[in-house]
Amino acid sequence: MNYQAMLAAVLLIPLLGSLLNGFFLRRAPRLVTVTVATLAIAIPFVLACMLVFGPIAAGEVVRTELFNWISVPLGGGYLEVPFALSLDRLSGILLLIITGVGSLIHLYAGEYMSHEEGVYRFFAYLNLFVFSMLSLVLGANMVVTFLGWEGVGVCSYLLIGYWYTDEANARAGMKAFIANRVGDLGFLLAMFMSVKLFGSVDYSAIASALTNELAAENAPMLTAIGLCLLLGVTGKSAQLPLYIWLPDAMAGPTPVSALIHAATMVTSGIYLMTRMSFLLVQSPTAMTTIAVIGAATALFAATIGLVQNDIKKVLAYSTVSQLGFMVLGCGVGAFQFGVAHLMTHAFFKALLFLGAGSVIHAMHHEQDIRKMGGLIKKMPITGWTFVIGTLAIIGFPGLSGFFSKDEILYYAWSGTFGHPLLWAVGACAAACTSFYMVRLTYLVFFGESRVEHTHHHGHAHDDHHHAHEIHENPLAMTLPLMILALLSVVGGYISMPHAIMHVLGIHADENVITQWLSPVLSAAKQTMTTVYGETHGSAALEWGLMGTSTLIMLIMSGFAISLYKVGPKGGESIANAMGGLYRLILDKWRIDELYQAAIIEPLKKLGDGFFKFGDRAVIEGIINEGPRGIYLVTSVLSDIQSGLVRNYLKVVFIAMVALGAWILI
Amino acid sequence: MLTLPEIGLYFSFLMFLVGLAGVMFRKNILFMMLSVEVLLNAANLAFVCASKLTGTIDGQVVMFFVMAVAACEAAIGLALIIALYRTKASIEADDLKALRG
Repeated sequence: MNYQAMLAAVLLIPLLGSLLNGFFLRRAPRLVTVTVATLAIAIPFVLACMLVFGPIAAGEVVRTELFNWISVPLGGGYLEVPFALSLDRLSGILLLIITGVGSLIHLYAGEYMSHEEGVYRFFAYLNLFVFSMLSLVLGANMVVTFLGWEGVGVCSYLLIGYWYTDEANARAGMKAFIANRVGDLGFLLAMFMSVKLFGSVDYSAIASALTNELAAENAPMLTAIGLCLLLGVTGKSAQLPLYIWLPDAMAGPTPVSALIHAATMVTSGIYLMTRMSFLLVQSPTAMTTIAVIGAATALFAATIGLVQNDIKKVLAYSTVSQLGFMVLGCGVGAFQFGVAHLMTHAFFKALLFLGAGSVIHAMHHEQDIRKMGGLIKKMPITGWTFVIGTLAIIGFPGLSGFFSKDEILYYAWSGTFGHPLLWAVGACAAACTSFYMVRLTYLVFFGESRVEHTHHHGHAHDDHHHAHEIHENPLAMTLPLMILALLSVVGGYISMPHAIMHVLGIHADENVITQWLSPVLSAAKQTMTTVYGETHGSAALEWGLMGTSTLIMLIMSGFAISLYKVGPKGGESIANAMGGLYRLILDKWRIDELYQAAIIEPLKKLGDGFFKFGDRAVIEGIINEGPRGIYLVTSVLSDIQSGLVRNYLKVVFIAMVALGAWILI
Repeated sequence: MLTLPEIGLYFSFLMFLVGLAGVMFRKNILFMMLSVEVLLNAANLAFVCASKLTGTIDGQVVMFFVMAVAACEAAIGLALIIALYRTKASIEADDLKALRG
């Protein structure tokens, strides 16, 4: 099988799985549904491994055109948009994450959803999501990417509102979709401007068309494209100011949160920025804005995470915060470490979400961490893998988060667009991360058990399930946890800092991720060095920052443990001391309320005005007054039809006289 | 000096006016029917006089047709009036306005 066909198969098999489950296997047994759905992701994963470790690792780019999609006259020639797929090293990493983590999550979801009826719908959506996500990362031009970009938004909407009979879930789905649409507008505008400026939407064509001279002539346009892309990124990757949908998206089933809202879809913004890195670096304004938004989001979301009591909400804000780190990494010019953090985050955040799902499943849909505690004895595999995930995300030395996050922080200080202030904000966010993650882990898995034995929440369960007894979940759920835990430990070594490489005696110029992505990022790197000059971070700085963040991590973790040793009440003294600020953070800085007052209410008023003027006055006016006028005219005519014979006879007489007169004269 | 057929023609015209006025201004259907008879007979007289004036026989032939039609009309009309009286309890023309627009 040649590589082009393999690439097409990678994209189309999940679509096939989705169609099978959605249309033909609706009445099939659960096992068939789950097997089809999982294989529809696992087979592409095998193919993706063959592709990525074969031709892609050798430096090739596999490109294939499925069909000619759009062809419209533009200027003198034609704008040709083929449905083209392109697999290079960047999309290769994403491809492996999507299909690899995706397979694990499908396996897990088969067990997690075992109490649900009609799971074919769930798996059809999930496979469709993977198809959309793959077309997002494999698209060789912006239009195919946009197809996937919209597709993941739709699937996210469908899956958040999977339990649609609960209105809150349906509303959360709509919120996600609408917030995403705002971002999509940015992507669309960026696409239009690219067509105007380059006459093409193909990434490689744009890259070769963008010369330094063109950039110098069209600097405002490039900045506009960059900022529009950023708007798209803030929507999809849940950055300020459009992050509000992601915490609500936790209404969906937990495997969905793990796959879509932690590992894949929300990282598509990072992918897009890296894909367009050659263009973004031409505009310092855009880059600085990206970095600032990333840093602000990282800190902002982390503060909210500090006080949440819902296990999934903590993880959701943590995701927003970690995405902020990735965006910060891209914004300071360290795209490769944004991608590295994307990957390690996909591992440990999927692990944490699946661990949370495992807990929720065992606790029968209890999500309040104040009602947990001491679970590690009852669920050792979930517990210890969750601990590994926590250590990874807070950056415990040697685990994956340590390497990827510290590289981002290091470049936030010393990168081309870096600034010590950005580092400081990032370090504060990292401190908050350590606190809330350790708090979460400790309250859920350690200390006294606070599980309520009087009743159990959620749906009615099968009889063989003892409602009050919490026990470890089957292998189909723990196996993905263990694999992801392993990846969370080792995944970070691809972005090992120089300083550590020197100590370990690895004599390579660059770490693995930088080498791997160098073909994709060469244009951006060249621009950065020629236009902005070389940057030289020193090994001492690197060690210093690394030590500082490790120290912060240890202090905050210790602080969290000492505070919550006595259970969830441990935080109350600080909460009381903070007073209003605490309540403000507990209410998530009241951003939702702000949007409600500043955007939604005025829009409602505007809509009300349109209804009253446009609908009531204009449209109903035409609809109602028009016939009324016609009636007025016709009623005169219909009055002639009096029904009285004498009147008709009068007409006959008059007509006769007139006729006679006419004939005679 | 007018000849007799000419006088008859003028008389038929007057008769026609009388019949027309009767149809137009009477409200009782029975009298309207009688007025229609007057109209028909005015036409008959006109046919006969015209026949005499032109020296042809056609007008007198048509007169017989008209008389036959008038007999039929009277029979059907009176039957209708009786039916109307039974349903409406009235033979006033103004009470019959179901066809009003």
